[in-house]
Amino acid sequence: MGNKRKKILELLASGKINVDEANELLSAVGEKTLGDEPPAATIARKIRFLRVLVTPNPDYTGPRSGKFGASGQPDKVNIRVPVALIRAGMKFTALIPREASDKVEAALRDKGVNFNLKNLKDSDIEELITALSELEVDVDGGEAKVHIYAE
Amino acid sequence: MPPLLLHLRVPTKNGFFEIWLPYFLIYPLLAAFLILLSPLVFPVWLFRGFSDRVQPLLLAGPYLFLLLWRMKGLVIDIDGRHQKFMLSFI
Repeated sequence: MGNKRKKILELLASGKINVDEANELLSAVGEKTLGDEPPAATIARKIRFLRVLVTPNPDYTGPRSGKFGASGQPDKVNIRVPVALIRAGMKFTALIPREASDKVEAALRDKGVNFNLKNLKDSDIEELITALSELEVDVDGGEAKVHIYAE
Repeated sequence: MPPLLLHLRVPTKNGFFEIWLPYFLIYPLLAAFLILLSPLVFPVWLFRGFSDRVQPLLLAGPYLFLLLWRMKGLVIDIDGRHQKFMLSFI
């Protein structure tokens, strides 16, 4: 943080200047003014992979379910999917024949999901991928820990 | 950069079997296959136009190529007491 910006913010914090005066001073010294920061939702970090990690929970001391064989420990799973692969896979919706896509859409509508496969644009896919950058799923309990995130 | 190698580890009776495959060979093979198919595909396109039925036929090859090209970085690694399976595109 620049020294001038810091001094201005100290003056604001101490009440010697108000917010409008602080903004004027900040723009005068060439710094971003207060309120110029874009909301966090629009700052999307560029993600390259989607990760799914399943690891045995070392702190688990409860009864074992017996689902994982004689060892009792769940398998370690590490899946990393490139986002570029997701984009390429989404293009395959263009190959679905009209009759099949109509049936899929009708079945989804019956379940209350209004989804049009043919109208899926590149910008929709990009929006979905941008939203994935904020995705984080952490399940910590039981015999295994599950962690799903974007990196 | 597309993936060049495929690292595969599959379970066997006595443990697991590990192999590095030259994944880069798939591109010329697929390209040759698409070129061989083109005399069948293009006449269909010429006579039927770019309709809903012809579009999957024309786009399947290039989209498949794109999918295989974008596999770099895909890792599926399952490590358990009784099974070890790994697939990694490098």
